[in-house]
Amino acid sequence: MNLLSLLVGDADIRSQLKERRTRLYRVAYSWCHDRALADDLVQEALARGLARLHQLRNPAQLDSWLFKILHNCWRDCFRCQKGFQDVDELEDYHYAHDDTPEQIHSRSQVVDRVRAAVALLPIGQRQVLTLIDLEEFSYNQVAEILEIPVGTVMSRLCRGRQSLKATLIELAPQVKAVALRSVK
Amino acid sequence: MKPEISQEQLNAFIDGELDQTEKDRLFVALDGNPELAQRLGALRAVKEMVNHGYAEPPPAPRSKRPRRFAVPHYLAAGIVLVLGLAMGWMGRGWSSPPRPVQFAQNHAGMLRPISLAGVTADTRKIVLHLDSDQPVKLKTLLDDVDYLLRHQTTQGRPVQVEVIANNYGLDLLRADITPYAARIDDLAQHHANISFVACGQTMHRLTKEGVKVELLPQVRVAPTAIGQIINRLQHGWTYIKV
Repeated sequence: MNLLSLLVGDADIRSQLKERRTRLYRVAYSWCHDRALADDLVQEALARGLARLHQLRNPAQLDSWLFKILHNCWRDCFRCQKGFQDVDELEDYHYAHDDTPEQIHSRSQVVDRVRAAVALLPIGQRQVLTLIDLEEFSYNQVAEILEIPVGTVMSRLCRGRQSLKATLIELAPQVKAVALRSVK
Repeated sequence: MKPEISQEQLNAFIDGELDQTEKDRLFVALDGNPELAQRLGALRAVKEMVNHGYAEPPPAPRSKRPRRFAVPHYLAAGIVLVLGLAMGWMGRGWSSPPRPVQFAQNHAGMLRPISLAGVTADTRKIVLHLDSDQPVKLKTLLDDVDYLLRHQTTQGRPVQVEVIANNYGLDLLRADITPYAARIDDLAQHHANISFVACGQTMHRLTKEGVKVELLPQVRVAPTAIGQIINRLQHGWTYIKV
């Protein structure tokens, strides 16, 4: 009977789960900035999600539930990795762009600097910031996903944005002018 | 007095987390406070930039590198290997190639497709297949037969049992080797609905190898064990491999 319900009843949720893949990957990438690791994390999160589908009480919470699993996967990954870095994959990342040089030139400056700045943030701030900015989760949802108080979410977000503002602000011309005036 | 607007509140504003009264307060504070407006604009820009930075994350690698979390491939490979070996081992009785003439004769028969579709299963007719000479298996088989026959007498449901032995399993039915001659004799004496069948092909092979095969008097010989089993299955018998 359990098998039958898996085949019939959850078919809808299962297809939804697959659709989340790109979004999960985007956030996972913003956390670790490693394509292979991000892909693995998403794979693992989806596998765990599928295996524990019966634990999901409210299908409307599928999103925050999945991101919570992703967060747990990343935490587990930290436990087992301990600062290991694969040199092959670093090279892979640098040479594996398949965009045209023009495209890369037009946006790589901003995009790369944003990514570098986000990567420099402490992990806690990085997670809060990306969940809110990329996935548009509410503060309460983020607090639930990361299992921290809402106050912590707000303070981490605040500090994260301050650091990013300091590093990135000269990238956007109109903000640059404002920043100069505000110094005066 | 100018109301103090904290950095957290500005963040909450651009993330749409403020309620109506808090928003009111912020708009009042913004009015005539360009410095606050600039701070708000800068935060807004940061949010947009982060969004832009990850709008198109680099595609996930699709290399042949083994996944860190996935089920290891060698496990699957191992299962396939074991399966292949098991099938090869079970089919080793088929190794003696038929002579060309025989093959041609058999061929016409073999072309007939075998299907069990439309066969109604009958759980009261049971084929027990033995192809091993492990003492445990011999004993299990005879115990099973015993149980089946006893069961039918208590329940009043007649059961038809046929024991088919080939390959090493033939030892059970060979008068000079079997440790259970008395027991088989006893079974055959007391029950009319049990039969013992030996594989003719195995006997042929043993004879060719120079072994003299002497069967128990209760045993019937079928041309091949497999043929006999298929025949039984097509008549709705239930097959049990011991």
